[in-house]
Amino acid sequence: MNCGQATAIVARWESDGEILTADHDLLSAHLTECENCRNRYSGILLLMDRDLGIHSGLAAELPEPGAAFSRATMERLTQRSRVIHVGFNRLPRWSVAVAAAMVLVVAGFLFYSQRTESEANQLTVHFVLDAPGAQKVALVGSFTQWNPDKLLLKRDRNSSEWEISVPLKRGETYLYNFVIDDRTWIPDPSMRVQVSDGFGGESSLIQL
Amino acid sequence: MDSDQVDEAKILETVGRVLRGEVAAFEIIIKAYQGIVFRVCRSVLSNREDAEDAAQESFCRAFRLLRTFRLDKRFKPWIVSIALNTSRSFYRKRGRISANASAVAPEEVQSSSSVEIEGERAILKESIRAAVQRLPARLRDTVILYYLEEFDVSDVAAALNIGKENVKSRLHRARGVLREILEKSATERSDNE
Repeated sequence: MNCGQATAIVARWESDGEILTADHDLLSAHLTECENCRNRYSGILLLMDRDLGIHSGLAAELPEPGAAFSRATMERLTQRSRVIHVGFNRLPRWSVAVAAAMVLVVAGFLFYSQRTESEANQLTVHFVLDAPGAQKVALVGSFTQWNPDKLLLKRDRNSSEWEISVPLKRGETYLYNFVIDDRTWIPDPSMRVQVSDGFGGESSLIQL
Repeated sequence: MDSDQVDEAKILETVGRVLRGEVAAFEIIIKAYQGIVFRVCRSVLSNREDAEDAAQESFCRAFRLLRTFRLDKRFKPWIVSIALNTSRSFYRKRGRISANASAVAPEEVQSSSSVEIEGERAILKESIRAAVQRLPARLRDTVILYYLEEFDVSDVAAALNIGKENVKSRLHRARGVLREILEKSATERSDNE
């Protein structure tokens, strides 16, 4: 093999990512003999290994997380998962409002939801849900009469974040869920307060 | 256990256990994928601490979203997709401009040395990883998943939420850019010798 043939093999691989085992072996042999081509294409040969289905181990020597990573993650997750369960149907409305107000003081900033002020009695609430693999995400709540066809979230083509902005009344308390693919109802993962919906599930609660 | 040895069937069974209330079983999932999740976060963020933070946050998000995971899909692209989105959120919120880093961070080079893998092949791998870091973000993510983590095209497409043809198109562009970067690096090395 000469250098021109080596370059042609690399050019073909570059174009469609395909490489024949025979060409790989010829190229590999040529690189042992030609210093110029070896300098240019040794790295490419490792990438070609991957296209041939040969394990190249390119990720193997990268740093790993620390030894205590899984334990630390479980602790973080457990702390985040502590929810205040409130039996909505059994408590008087005023205590739900007090509980919501307390949680807002404790919880602080809404990681996913932002507030923008529009009119005097309205707040525009921005709902975001990261749902990779979902084909459709709807927002349902007391403000849609729990109809999953009214408010459909949108996402950018290359993103798994779904979002929608909804004008809601200032001073009101709302319950809401996301509905994934018309099938799975979930509370908002970014909200700490989850409230029993009286049907065995949970909804998120927001007070504006 | 690293993700290339993970039994997807066992993971799906574990997902079922977690969804039935056995929260402690989620640690099995963390241990199975912590390597790849950390590496993906590390590829986006400029330092190890942020990458570990983002990796932990990725698992927390995955736990909260577990009910949305479809059991007829593969888990690895799903968790990697969450890791990519989480680390990009960290990147935006913390203002760490690490895209198109011109070289692998020094700690990466040191850990390659500390593992005591000598020889030309180890140096080559390092130069490839450095070249990958210099790619534009979209190409870099695709190359990391396909060439470094050895995902197949379907899994890359699922993790990046794009079509398979888009994956192939990105790989085609990336191969050309990588060849140029590697050739240029080789020229610079031989000029310095």
